[in-house]
Amino acid sequence: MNALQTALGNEHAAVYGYGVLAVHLVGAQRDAAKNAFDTHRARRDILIGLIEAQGDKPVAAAPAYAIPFPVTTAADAVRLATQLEERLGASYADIVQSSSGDTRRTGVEWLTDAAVRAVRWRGSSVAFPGLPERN
Amino acid sequence: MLGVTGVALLSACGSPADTKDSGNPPNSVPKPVPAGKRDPVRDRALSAEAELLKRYDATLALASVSADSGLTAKLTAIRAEHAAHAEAIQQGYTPPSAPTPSSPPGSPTPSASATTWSPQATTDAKTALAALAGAEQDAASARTADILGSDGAIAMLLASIAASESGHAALLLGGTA
Repeated sequence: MNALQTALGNEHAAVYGYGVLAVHLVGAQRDAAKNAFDTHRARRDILIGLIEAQGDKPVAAAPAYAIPFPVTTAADAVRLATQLEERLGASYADIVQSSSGDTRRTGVEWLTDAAVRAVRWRGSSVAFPGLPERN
Repeated sequence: MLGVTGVALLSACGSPADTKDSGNPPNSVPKPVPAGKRDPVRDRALSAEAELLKRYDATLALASVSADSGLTAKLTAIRAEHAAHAEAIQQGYTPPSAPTPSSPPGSPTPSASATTWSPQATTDAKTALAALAGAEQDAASARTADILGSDGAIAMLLASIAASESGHAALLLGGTA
């Protein structure tokens, strides 16, 4: 599967995941989750457009996703949000590597955005966002 | 994940424990530069990292920062990530006369920064952090042209470093989710 399709699959999952986790948050964290939900929905739509422009059929969202651990508290929600952003970062790093021009520029911007969101959820940074084998 | 129907939420790149599948493609390591040959892209990246390392050393030496153990720990951790960036950029790169991008971790050398940037000894921590955040963001932005103009693997490494620097800026400015 090419990098755009993998990223789209991860954006579908992120939209689902933020929908699940947002209800466990309050205040500024809830707002951040809603903002992320909207952002990832918009990116999903942009990716669908990019993939269709290549003449490919965009991968569809799954009807449901298995959450990797029970999300019942704010701490669970923050942990899941962090993991969603980390996974998206890896997808966008792959897009940077495998594309050029405007698509690569988009990959850089979205990798950065995922890294910043992950830092805010996690409260700490990593040296190599999107490159899990290096961290 | 037992007994739950549906696609695993974090499956697209493998589960977190599944390091074999969670990484990037096997060709993701930048190709070595032939020994003795200069690479302007790596030189620029190394010099930017060296500059950031100096700034962290100078900031860590400030009285307002060293008095705060939590802040010192935070800045030391970020500094270590810059040292890791420099090391990653240097992998497979042996230019004619190797640049020395970093002083050894844990040995702040505030005098080394005098040539380029030097906070006043009385600078308060908040001002110093804002200056560091600005430097991180500038370094991240300055990489864009090299990212767009380089081979895939080095472009991916530089993009990750730029993303890390933007994350540092967010952390320094105290943004919370």
